[in-house]
Amino acid sequence: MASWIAELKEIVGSEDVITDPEQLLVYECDGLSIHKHLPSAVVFPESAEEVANVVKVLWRHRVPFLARGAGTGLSGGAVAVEGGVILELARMNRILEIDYENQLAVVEPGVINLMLTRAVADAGYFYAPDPSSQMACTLGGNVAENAGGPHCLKYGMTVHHILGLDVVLPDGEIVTLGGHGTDAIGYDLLGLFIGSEGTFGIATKITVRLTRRPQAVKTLLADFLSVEDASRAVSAIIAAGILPSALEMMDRATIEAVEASVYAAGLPTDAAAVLLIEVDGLAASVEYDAGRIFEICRANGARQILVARDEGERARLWAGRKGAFGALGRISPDLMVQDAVIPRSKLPEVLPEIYRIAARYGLRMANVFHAGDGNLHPNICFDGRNPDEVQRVKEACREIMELCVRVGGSLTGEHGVGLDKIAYMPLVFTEDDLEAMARVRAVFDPEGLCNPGKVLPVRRCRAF
Amino acid sequence: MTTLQKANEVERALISIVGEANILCPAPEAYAIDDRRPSFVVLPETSEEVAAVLRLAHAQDLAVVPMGSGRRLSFGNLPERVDILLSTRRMNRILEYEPADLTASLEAGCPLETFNRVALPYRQWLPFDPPDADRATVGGIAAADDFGPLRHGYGRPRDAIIGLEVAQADGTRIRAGGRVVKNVTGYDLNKLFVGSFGTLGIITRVNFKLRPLPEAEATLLFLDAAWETLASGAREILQSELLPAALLLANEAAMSPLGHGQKALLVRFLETAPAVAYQVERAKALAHSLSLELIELENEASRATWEKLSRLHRLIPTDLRLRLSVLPAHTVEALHTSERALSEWLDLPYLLAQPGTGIVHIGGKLGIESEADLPQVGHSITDLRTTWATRRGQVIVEHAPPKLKRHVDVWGDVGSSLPLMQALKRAFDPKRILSPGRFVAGL
Ligand SMILES: Cc1cc2nc3c(=O)[nH]c(=O)nc-3n(C[C@H](O)[C@H](O)[C@H](O)COP(=O)(O)OP(=O)(O)OC[C@H]3O[C@@H](n4cnc5c(N)ncnc54)[C@H](O)[C@@H]3O)c2cc1C
Ligand SMILES: Cc1cc2nc3c(=O)[nH]c(=O)nc-3n(C[C@H](O)[C@H](O)[C@H](O)COP(=O)(O)OP(=O)(O)OC[C@H]3O[C@@H](n4cnc5c(N)ncnc54)[C@H](O)[C@@H]3O)c2cc1C
Repeated sequence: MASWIAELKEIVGSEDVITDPEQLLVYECDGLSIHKHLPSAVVFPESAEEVANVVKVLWRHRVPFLARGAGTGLSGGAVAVEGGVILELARMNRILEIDYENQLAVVEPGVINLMLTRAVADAGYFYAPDPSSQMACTLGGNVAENAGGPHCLKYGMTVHHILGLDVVLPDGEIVTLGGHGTDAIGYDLLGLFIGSEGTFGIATKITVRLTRRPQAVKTLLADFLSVEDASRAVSAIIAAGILPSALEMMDRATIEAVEASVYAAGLPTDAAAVLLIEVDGLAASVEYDAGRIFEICRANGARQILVARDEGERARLWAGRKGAFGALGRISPDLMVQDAVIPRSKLPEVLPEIYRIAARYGLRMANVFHAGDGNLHPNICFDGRNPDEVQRVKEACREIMELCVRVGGSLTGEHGVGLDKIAYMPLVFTEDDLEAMARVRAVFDPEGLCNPGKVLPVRRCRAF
Repeated sequence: MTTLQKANEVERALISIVGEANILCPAPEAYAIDDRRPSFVVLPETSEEVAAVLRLAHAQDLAVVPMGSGRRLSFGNLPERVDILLSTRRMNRILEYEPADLTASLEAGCPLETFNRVALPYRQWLPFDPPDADRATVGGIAAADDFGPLRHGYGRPRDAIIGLEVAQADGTRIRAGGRVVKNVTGYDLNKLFVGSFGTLGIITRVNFKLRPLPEAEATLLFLDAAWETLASGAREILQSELLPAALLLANEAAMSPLGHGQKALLVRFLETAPAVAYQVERAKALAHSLSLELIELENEASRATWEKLSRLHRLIPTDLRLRLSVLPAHTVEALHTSERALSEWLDLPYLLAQPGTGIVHIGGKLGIESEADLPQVGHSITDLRTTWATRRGQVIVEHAPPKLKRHVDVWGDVGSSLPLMQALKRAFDPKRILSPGRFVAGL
């Protein structure tokens, strides 16, 4: 047994360090199963001090490590590629403080996204970023990935809702980033850390902004006989100056999968695509905007527009949308949940092309995505046991990425680069751009121990 | 080589980059940074030229300070040295504007107003109202992450910046972010440069996500003699369903250029027409229940009021201006403590506070007998800072005469993250040629 393992056991207790290969298997991959690697150990710290002490030991022994929340990441971020140690933070799941007057809460990183909203709901508040995985993913993971979600169109991403962080740096020092509710001075290290995909350190305390629940909400479901019509409706809504709180698209393959699953929401299975549109805010403007959206959808060929009559119907529609990945996952052995962004006006042009790419590779594809943000999720159903199919999936993904970049888009809108998209980074960034990123990484992690092998491609022995 | 020979050589090199007509040497008085006059003012026209100037500066070890409109160059500690002042005035183009995507890419020197005028027919805008909004450039706004009362409803410029192009200290050009509204590809270097006050690189291009221009607007002025009454009005609004775009407490001095002699709570609504009408009615009822005097301003009159407030420090004499950031619940207390702490030194101080974000602005004319009193003023500011530090509050000196800056740090204590900031400065500007000495802890 490596000497550092004994040291870790001394810090967290021997039952909270696992090294048995069979037990480690659970931590072999995250939500994206095509990248697998066993960690050398998993530890379960329960406090910031324990995290710091564990990290100090690993730093001293030059053992790579990474934090893990719920493991729902879809870019391979929580995989210990270099056989490092995983710090599993699920036990650090306490809500430390709720302060309605200042509209903030202080939480540990293992708090599950939806639990926070549940904790403040009775007081009329919610935590705005709502990834579709919100029933499982942790706020630490959200911070690391700068997670988004359906309501980010209006409310912004995780970075817009984090007020402060305590972070254990790769050498075990604890630093405070941001002002925990007030403005901090100096460089915006808080903004820089959010979305750094666990490569700058481990967040151990998070101050989040709470948002007041809007006076009114209206949820519409518009169905279309072609994906192009639905895409045009999306562009027209945005161009009309309406800012819905959510504007989501599901295509027929997705609708069919959802309707065949426990998430069945009564979606029209003969539609080519549906738009799930939500407006919220003051009752007066919600009525007004919903009316305009109704008109725009009609003008762009919507067949039927349904308005959720009550909270139950609304919840059912959202369960269908948020359960879509799960539903798709069930109809094939494996699912490649892709994530790319394009300028929203390019939707009508790009979507049909994406279907053509999938068809050319003989792959079954389903699209369910944050249309209002231009954040695509082309999901490919495949069988990981079939190497030829896996190869085709990879090639199709690359073509989709190239297409998105060509029209002015980018590689990922919310899931991150992780392991999965490193190879594509040069599509959007020059060597100089990547070198600048590597310099920032080296400031936080000079020894390259914190979640190595992620985000930046390695060139000539040098992390870019 | 003598100093003069070197100066001549530098001048020749600069001329070969930007042309003789775009160099001012010696620099006119107006370009002094605090009390230091740069040797050269250069006005490049393209980002390539900016990069070339930096390559030269890097090779020759010359200090470069970038400027936008230059109205706010006094923000920062005394510069250690200034050789070249790089003005973005000629880099003022709108490079791309896609109304259908609500995104735009602008050259750093493009004035905010210029862009907002172009976007008006498309009913879109950049919802920023920093002080001197009528003059500020988008590069300066980005570099200072500069905001005004609209921060309450729209956030800081930081939140709307989706991409940057930056010339680094050695002249290498890089791009951060992109042109899409949602993007987590790689590290978000936008955050590194936004708010870095020209100490890590020179921003040459800024990409923004835009907002639809609201259909209607109205401003309500609640007038009263006591902060507490106005603050309880603000609290009720904050806890109601109302969604003001701005919420501002203003003292008598701040209100006088608007033609009012009382303290006020200003509430700005920017929304669809029916929602503005609804909110005005609700807010009126609220004022009534609190027995507050109320004035209602619609569209043009509303806009004019906020524009005037953005120029407040020009309308009343100020030579010392501070910004406090406290927890929102402490806003009124911050007004009281700063009034007490500074009234001895500040004549006619104006106070503006955002009860929703906890931002307090104070400005006034230094009323001191002699320069011997300056250390005392410095102490008062430091004391105020110490008082708030224990409660997460920050005090920044946004403007002060150079002679006062010798007695007080403009920024205050950074805390445990200072070593990271110092390492970032070393990583991006190892020779310390970009605005040396001006930022936190003398970075
Ligand atoms: C069905 C499904 C739907 C999804 N929908 C969305 C969506 O709508 N929007 C979206 O953005 N994402 C979505 N995701 C992706 C994923 O849920 C998010 O990226 C989420 O933020 C990951 O959180 P986690 O706790 O599971 O993190 P993990 O997967 O455990 O870790 C992700 C990364 O974060 C790092 N990390 C974790 N905790 C910390 C910490 N405390 N400090 C530093 N680094 C840390 C890890 O090292 C790793 O690199 C979805 C995933 C699934 C499976
Ligand atoms: C209430 C309030 C009061 C304020 N009062 C003051 C005040 O009293 N004094 C004061 O100094 N500021 C003050 N500011 C900040 C000031 O308003 C902004 O700095 C200004 O709007 C920036 O626009 P500008 O084009 O004039 O930039 P400039 O004033 O020319 O530059 C601002 C800063 O950005 C840097 N910079 C400019 N362009 C670039 C670029 N392209 N790349 C990198 N760095 C660049 C400059 O070096 C400088 O540090 C105040 C802000 C607020 C919110």
